Amino acid sequence: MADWNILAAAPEWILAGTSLLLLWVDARAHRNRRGSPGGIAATGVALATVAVLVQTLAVGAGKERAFLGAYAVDAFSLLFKLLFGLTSLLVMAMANTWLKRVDRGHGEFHLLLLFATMGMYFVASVEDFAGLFVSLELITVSFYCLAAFKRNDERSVEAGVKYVVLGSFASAFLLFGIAFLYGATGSLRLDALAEASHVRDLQYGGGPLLQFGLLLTLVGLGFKIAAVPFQVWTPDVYEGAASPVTAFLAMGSKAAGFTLLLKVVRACLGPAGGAGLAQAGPWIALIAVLSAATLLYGNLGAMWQGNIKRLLGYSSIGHGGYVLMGVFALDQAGFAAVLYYLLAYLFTVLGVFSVVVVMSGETKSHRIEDYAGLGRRSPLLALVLTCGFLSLAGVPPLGGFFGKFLVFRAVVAKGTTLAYSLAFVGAAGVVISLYYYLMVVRRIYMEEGKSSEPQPPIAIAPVLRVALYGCLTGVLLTGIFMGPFIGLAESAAGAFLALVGR
Amino acid sequence: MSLLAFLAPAVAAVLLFFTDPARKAHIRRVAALATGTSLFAALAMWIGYDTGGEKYQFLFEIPWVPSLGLAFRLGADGISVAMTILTAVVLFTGMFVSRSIEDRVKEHYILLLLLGTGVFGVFLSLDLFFFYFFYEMAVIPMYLLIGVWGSRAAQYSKEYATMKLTLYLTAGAVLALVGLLAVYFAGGGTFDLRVLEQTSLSVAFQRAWFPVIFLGFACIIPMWPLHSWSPIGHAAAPSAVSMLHAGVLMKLGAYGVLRLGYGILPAGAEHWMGWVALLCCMNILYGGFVAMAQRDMKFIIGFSSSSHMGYVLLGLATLGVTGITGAVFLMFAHGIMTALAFALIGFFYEQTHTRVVDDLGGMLKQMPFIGVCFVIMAMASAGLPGFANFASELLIIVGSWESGFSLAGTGITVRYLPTIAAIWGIVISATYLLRAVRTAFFGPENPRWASLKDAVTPVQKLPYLILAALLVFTGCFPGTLVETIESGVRKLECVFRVEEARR
Repeated sequence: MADWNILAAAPEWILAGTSLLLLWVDARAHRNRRGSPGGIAATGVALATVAVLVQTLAVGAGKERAFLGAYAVDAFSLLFKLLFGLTSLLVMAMANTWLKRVDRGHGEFHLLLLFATMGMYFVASVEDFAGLFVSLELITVSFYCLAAFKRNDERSVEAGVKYVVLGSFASAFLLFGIAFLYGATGSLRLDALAEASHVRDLQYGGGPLLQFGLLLTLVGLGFKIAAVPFQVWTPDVYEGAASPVTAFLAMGSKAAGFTLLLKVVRACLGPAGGAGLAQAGPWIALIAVLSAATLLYGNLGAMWQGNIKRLLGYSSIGHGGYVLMGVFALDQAGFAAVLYYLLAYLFTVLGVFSVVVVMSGETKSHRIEDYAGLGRRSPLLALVLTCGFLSLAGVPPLGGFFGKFLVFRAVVAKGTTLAYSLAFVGAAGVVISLYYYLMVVRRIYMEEGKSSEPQPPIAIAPVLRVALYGCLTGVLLTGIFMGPFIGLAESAAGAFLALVGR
Repeated sequence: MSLLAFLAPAVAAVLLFFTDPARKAHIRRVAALATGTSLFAALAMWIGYDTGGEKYQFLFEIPWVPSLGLAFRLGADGISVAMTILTAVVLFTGMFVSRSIEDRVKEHYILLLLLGTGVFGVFLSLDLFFFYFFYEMAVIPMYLLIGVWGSRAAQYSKEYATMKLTLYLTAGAVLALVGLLAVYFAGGGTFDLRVLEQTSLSVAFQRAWFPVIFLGFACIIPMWPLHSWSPIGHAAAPSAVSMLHAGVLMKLGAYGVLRLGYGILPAGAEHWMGWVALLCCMNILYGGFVAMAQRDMKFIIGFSSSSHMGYVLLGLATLGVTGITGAVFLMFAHGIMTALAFALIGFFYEQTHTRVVDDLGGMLKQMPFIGVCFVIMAMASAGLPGFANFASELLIIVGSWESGFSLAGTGITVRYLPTIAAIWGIVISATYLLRAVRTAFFGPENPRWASLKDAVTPVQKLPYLILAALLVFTGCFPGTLVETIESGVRKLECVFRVEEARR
C-alpha cells in the first residue's frame, strides 16, 4: 500500500535540520554571542509551520501515508501541528524575555524546545505504538531537562527530578500496556487495534488481554494529560520549572497527550461504522469518572493557591477534565469540541504565561499578592491577564467560553443520565473556577501595590509585546467569530473519524 | 431598530477603548451619545410596534455558525419592547449619574457600555445561544464595576459583595445552560427561538427540565431563598451600577423565565408555577419585613426590590393575561422607580458619606429638588395611584385573585392566600418607605448637613427628571405601554391555553 513517501514529513525534516544547524552553530559560537539561537529556532519553526500550511492545502480532506503506513498526514494531524508550531513560537517569544535573566545555555534551551516541538509533530502523525512511544519519549525527555534548566535553583531541580521519577514510571506503564496490546492484536498498528476492538470479536479470547493493555496505556497517557489520579506532579513541576517551560508544558505537552489519547480512543471505536470497545458501558463510565474527578480536583485545588504558577498548575488539571468531557462524547462533535477547546486554550494560557514571565522578572516572585495594583502599572498586562483568566473561566465573548460551550453541547447531546450528571459537575466546576480566577482579577484592579509612591511602568520587550497582542486577538477572535475555527475543528474531527485503516 | 439599540453601546465601547484616558469630557460625551442613540431606537420601536401584527417584529438575522444551527437573530415582541425601553432609559440616565466618577473614567464607561450591550442583547435575542452569550456577558462587567468603583456595604466589603453576586449569577447561568442545551437537542438541534416555540416537546420532558431553567434564572430574579446576594450587591455598587443592577439586570431573570420557560416549555410552566406562587409570598413578606429592619438606605431599597420581585413572580405564576401583563409592567415600573431611588441615594451619599437613615434628617431644606424626587419615588414604590407601580400591582392582584395555584405533586390548589400576602406587602412597603422619607428628608434638621448642595444645573437634574416624569406618565397613561406588553403576552402559548381553559 503505502511506500516511504518521505516528503509527507517535510515539516519534521525542517525541524530536524534546524536542530542540527543550531547544534552546529552553538558548538562553534563564542560564549558572548547571544540572540542568534532564538532566531534560528524561531525561523525553523516558522518554516515548518509554513510547510504545514502548504500541506493543509495539498491534503485537503484526504489522508496521506508515509513510512510504510506508520505515519499519516491528514486534516487532524495538520491542525495539531499548527497548534504545536504556534505554541512553540509563542514560547520562544517568552524565552526571549526570560533568557535575558539567564547568562548561559541559550543554545541548549532552544535546542530542547526544538526537540520537544519535533516530538509533538511526530505525535500528531504517528499511526503505530512504537512511533507513539518514541515520539512521546522525545517530548518527555526534553521536558525533563527543560524543567531542571535553572540548575542553581533548588525548586527547578526538584521539579526536574520529580518529573523524571514519575514520568519514567508512567512511561513504564505505557510500555507495559503496549506490550499487552501487541500480544492481543499481534501488531503495533493502531489500525490493528481498531480491528481487534470490534465488540463482536471481544467475545472470544483476546478481550481481557486487550482491555488490560488499554488500561495500562491509559495510565501512561493519563500522566501526560495530568488526569486524576496521575496528576500529583503537576503543581510542583509547574511551580519549579521556568515560566516559558511551564507554558510549553501546559499547552504543548498536554495537547500532545490528548492527541495520543484521541488516537487510542479513536482506535477503540472500532473500524469505521462498527461498534467498538470504547462504547462499552464500563469504558464510558471510566472516562466520565476520570473527567469529573479531574475537573473537580483541579478546580478545588486551585482555590487555595497563593502562587500564580501553582494556581495555573491546578487550573490546567481542571481544564484537562473539561477536555476529557469532550472525549467522553466519543463522536465528531466531541472531538471537534476538544480541538476547539485546545485552540482557544492555546491563546488563553500562553497569553497568561507571557504576563507571568514579565511579572516574574519584575517582582522576582510568583506570589499572587505581588500582582496588586497591576491595573494601574501596566494596563496591557492587566488586560491580557484578565481576558486570559476570564477566558479560562469560560466567560463570553472570549474563546474559552465557546470551547466550554462546545464541550457541554457534545456531552448533553448524549442524553443519558451519566452525561447529564457529568454536565452538571462540569457546571459546578465553572463556578468554582470563576471564584479563583476572579480573586486574581481582584488583586489586579481592586488592590493597590504595597509601596505608596507610584511605581514605574513595566517595560515589555517588543517580541513579547507582539505575542501579547497576538494572544489577546486570538482569544477574542475564537470567542466572537467562531465560524472559521469551528469549521477547521469539525473538518479535522471528521477526517479523523472517517478515515481509519485505509 | 433592534440592531441599532444593541449596536450603539457596543460600538461606543470599542471606540472608547482606543481613546486617550485623559479626555474625560470626550469619553462622557461619546457614552451619552451612544446610549442616547439606543434610547432613540427603543422609543422608535415603541412607536413602530404593531400590536396587531406578527409576534416578533424588527427582525434581523445573520448566520453565524451554520453547522451548529447558530445565527445572530434579533427581534422583539411586546415584552421585549417594554424591556428595551427600560434598559435604554436606565442606561442613558446612568451615564449622566456616573459623571461624578473621576477615577479610571474610561474603564468605567467601557464596562458600563459592555454591560448595556449584554442586556440589550438578552432582551432582543431570538437565538438561544446568543441569549446565553449576552446574559453571561452582562453579568461579568458587574464584577469589576462593583469591585473597583463600589463602596463598603454595612459589614460587607465591596469585594465580598461583588464576588457573591458574580458567583450566584454564574451558578444560575451554567445551570440554565445545561437546561438550554437539553432543549436545543430535544428541539432538533436548532437555537432559533421561533422554531423552538413552534416545536411541541413532550410533556414529560417539559416538566423535567422546566425546574432546571427556572432555578437557573431564579438566582437573578432573585427568588427567595436565592436572594441574599442582591441587597448586598445593590448596596456596594456605585450609583449608576446599582441603577442598572436593580433596574435592569434583575429583570433578565424574569424575562428569561418568560421567554424560555413559558415560550418553549409551557407545560412545564403550568405544572410547576403553583409552587412559585407560594414561594414568592416569602419574597414579598420576608423581603418587606427585612427592609423594615434596615437602617442603610440602599439596603432598604435593596430588600424592597426583592420584595417587589415577589409580585413579578406572583404575576407570572397566574399564567393569565392580566397577571403576566401586570408582571411585565411592574418589571418596567420597578426598574424605573428603583433606578431613580439609587440615583438619588447616590447623589446625597457623595456629600454626606453616610446612607444610614438615622444620621440623615431634614435634608429637604437643603436639597428641595432631590427631596421632591425622593418623595415621588417613595410614593411610586409604595404603590400610590397615579404611578406605574400602582397600575401594575393592581393588575397582578386582580390576576392572582382570579386564579388558583395548583401545587404539583400534592393535589392541593391554593387560592386567595398569595393575593392576601401581596396586599399585606403593600402595607409593609408603605411603612418602611414613608419612615425613610420622614426621617431623612423631614424630621429634625441635622446641623451636619447644613452645607449640602442640591442638583442645580439642567445636566444634573436631567436624569432624575426623565425617570420621575416617566413614572408619572406611564402611571397616568398606562394605555399604550400596557397594550404593547399585552400583545406580547397574549401570544405566549401557555397563556393562550390557560385562558381557553378558563373560559
